[in-house]
Amino acid sequence: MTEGNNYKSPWGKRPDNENPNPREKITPNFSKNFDNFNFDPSNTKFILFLLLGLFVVWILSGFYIVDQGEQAAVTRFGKFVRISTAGANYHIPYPVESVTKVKVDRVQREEIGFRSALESTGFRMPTKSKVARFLPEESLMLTGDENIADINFFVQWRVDNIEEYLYNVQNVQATVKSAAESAMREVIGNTTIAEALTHGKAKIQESAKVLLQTTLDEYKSGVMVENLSLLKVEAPSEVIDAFRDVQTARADRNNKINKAESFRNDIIPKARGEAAQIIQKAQGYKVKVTEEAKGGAEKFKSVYYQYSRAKDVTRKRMYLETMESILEGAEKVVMSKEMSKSMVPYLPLKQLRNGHAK
Amino acid sequence: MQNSYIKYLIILGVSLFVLLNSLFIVGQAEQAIVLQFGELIKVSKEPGLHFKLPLVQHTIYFDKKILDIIDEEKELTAEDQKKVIISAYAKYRITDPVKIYQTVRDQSGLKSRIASIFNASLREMIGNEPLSALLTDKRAAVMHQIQGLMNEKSKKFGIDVLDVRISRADLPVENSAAIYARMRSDREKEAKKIRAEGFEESQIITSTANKEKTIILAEANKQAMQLEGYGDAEATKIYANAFKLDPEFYNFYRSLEAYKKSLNKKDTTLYLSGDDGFLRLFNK
Repeated sequence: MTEGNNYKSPWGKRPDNENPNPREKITPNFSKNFDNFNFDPSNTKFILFLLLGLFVVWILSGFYIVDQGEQAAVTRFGKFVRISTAGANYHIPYPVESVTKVKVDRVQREEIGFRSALESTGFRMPTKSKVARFLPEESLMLTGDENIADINFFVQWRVDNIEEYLYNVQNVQATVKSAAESAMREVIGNTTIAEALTHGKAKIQESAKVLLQTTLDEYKSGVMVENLSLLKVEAPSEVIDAFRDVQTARADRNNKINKAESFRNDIIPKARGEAAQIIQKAQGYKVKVTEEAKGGAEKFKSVYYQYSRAKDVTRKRMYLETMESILEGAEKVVMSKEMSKSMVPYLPLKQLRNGHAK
Repeated sequence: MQNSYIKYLIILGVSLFVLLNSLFIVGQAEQAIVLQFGELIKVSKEPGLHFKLPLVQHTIYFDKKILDIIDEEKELTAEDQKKVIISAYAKYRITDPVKIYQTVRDQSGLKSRIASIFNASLREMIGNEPLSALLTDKRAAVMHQIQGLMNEKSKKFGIDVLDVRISRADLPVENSAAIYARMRSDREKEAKKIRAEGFEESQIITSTANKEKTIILAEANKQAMQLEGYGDAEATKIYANAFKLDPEFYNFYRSLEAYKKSLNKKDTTLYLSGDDGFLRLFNK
């Protein structure tokens, strides 16, 4: 802006002819020289303050916090220089240094052969989750004996070395998944289906895990495989009935054998029992018969000894006693000598029988 | 005065621009080449801050990371004419970015060339081995061979193929059906055999048990008869020992007992005449 005697001030016109202060004349002249400085002192200061403020803000932007379970990689002009750990940290602000944070305690999960019901982020609870769908193109694998197995498994991994993880391999998560699938298929390709379906599970898991970790280490991916678990090892659905029938057949066989054994366990003891009874009965008979014999013998002996003291008399007595008891009970017909001589022996056997049958 | 202020700003701005244009940053996972009007000046592989001539020189960046090439499912033919569906991936790294620039210019050009090299190498190596080789520990060797072949073919591109892995080696769908049929019939045979074994073994157990039972009972009966026989013999002996004291008297005595037993019943009718000894006194 020009300064002159003709300057019009916004606050009204100065009276033209007034020139009250000679100093005023001078100062305008000074002002002329200090023109650029009259507003600039405040300008400069203002700019300086601004710059200082921006600088402070810039300096302060270097503070950052690393959370628990995280680590941060610091690069200076792109070059990796150090790792910082949990807590408050400082780095030379951008663009000199920059920070990339990585969660090192976060366990990620890759699923092969199926997808579980949770959201498909990398982050899943490592525990059970429901299967939402099966993916046969991922799960059907060729076995060593040219059969097909249906396999579902998952891998849990986390970042072990953030320098390797960040700078060595492109797309680490996809790498883990495809390496896992390849490892499992290689292991299954070396296993028979019978072994895979029965007792080979632990061996398969171990071999696949080792192979996967070795591969990931070769790539220097900085990944640690925490766990590799088989969820399902089955025959494909098309043939699974036939496989299940084999198990059923085993159950049937065991059933049959058990039945036969319980039959045996039933009749053998029964037979032994019967045998014991037979023998006991015979022993009883033997005892009875011998005791009876002894009794009979003793009876005879005592009768005999009595008889031997008075033979005739005893004989007669015995005879008469016997006849007595016989004739007491029986039906008798007594005939005289003459009658019996003249009679024709006629026996109406039928009537007799019928008569007595009444 | 304002002019000089503006002049200062302009000078500041231009020098800043020139400064920035002569610096470039190479990241930890990057490498760069510097070109001047299309002509290669230098290669900067080390991460950090680098310098170049402003304006006349520019940089092209390349990955230093391990990159993927994926070969999606394709049907290939093995040496024994068996068809197999292969999907595989290869891991490679750019070692000489200059060669890339000279051949295919940049990374996307590189990717398509490598893809076709990968495919060709797979085809060749799979065609060299019978299908069964992939199902044994030869699989790893085959993957190695593919890797070697790829490296050979891509030498001029300045890359290093680090690893080749077969993700899937499956049989085509038609074969799957045949395999399923075979798996089914194998299982059916096995189930049959197992059931037959069950039947056979149960039969053996049952018939053995029956036999055992027969033997047990026969033994028992034999023993029983022996005992009874012994008992009878013993009884006979006892009797005989007693009766031989006076056989005649025994005869008399025994007959009387017999008469008592058999004739002493209501259903017996006796016809007696006076001749009989018993009634002899009767007729007197």
